[in-house]
Amino acid sequence: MMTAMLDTQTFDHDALLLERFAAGDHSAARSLTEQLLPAVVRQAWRILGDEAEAEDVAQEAMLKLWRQASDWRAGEARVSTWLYRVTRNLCIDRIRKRRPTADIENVAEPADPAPTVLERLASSEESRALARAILALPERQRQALVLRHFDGLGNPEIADRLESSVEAVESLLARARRQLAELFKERGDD
Amino acid sequence: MTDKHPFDLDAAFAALERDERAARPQPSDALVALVLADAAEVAAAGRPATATAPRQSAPEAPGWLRFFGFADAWAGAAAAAVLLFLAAGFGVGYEAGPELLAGTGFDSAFGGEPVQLADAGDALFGVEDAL
Repeated sequence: MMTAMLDTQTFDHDALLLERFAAGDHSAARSLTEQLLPAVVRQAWRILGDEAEAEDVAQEAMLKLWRQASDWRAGEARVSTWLYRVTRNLCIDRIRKRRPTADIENVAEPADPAPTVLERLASSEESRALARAILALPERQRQALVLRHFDGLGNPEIADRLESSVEAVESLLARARRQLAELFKERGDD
Repeated sequence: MTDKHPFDLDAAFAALERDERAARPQPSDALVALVLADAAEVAAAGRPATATAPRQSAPEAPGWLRFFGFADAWAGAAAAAVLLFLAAGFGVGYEAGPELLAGTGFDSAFGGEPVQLADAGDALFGVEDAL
C-alpha cells in the first residue's frame, strides 16, 4: 500500500495518517486536525465571509473525512485536495441555502467570492482596487491566483486542487497577471 | 508582475496579502475539540470487526482451505471436483464389488502373482500382455 502511495516525488503523509486513524490510532486524528483544519477554515471563510459559518463548514468537512477514512483509496487523490473540494461544495450549498426563494435551475454556480472578503479587509485604496480586479477575473484564473498568493501553494499543488496540469496552472496564472497588469495600466492611464 | 505601472501591481499584491494574513481566522479551541470528538465518535461507532481490513485485500479463505492456500474460487472449485471424482470412483468400485477385482489385470496386479511376460524385452508392456 505504501508503494502505491508513492508518486515519484509526492508522498501523501495525510493519507498515511488517515490510514492510521482508520486502524484505530486516535493520535493520527489529532495530527490530521492540526495539519488540515486551519486551511479548511481559511478557505471557508474566504468563500462565506463569516468566521462562525466557516467553522461550521470546517467541522462538517472534517466529519466527512473521518467517515471516509475506512474507505479511503490511497493514490486516487490527495487528502488535502479531497478536503478542498468537499469544503468548496459545502460552502456552495450554504450560499444556495441563503437564497431559498431563488430558482436553483437559473442560479449560476456561485463564484468563489474570496475577493469580496479581501475587498472588505483591504486597508488601502490600492489593495482594494486589486481585490476588485481579482473579482473580475474568470473563475479558474481567480482560483489559481488565490491559491498561489493567499494560500502560498506551489504550481503542482494548485494543479492538484484544480484537477489540472502544472502547465495549465502556469498558463492560468500568467494570463491572470497579464490581465491584472492591463487593468492597472488602464487605471494608471486614466 | 514585474512590469512597472503607475499603479504598482506588486505593491498592491503585497499589501493585500498582508491584510489577508492579518485578518485570516485560526480554528478556535472549541472547534478543534469538536472535530476531535467527532473523530472519536466515528472511530468508536464505525469499527466493526472487518472494518480494519484493507479494502482491496483478497478475502481470506475459511478454515482448513487457508492451510492449503485455496483462497480463490478456481482453486476451491478444482479441489471440490477432485473430491467428487474420488467419491464417484469409490462408489462405482463398491457397486461392482468382487467382479471388478476378478478381472485378469486386477487379479494379477493385486493378487500377488507375478505377471507373465512373453520375454524380457516386453517388460515395459507386460501389463498389456497380461490383460
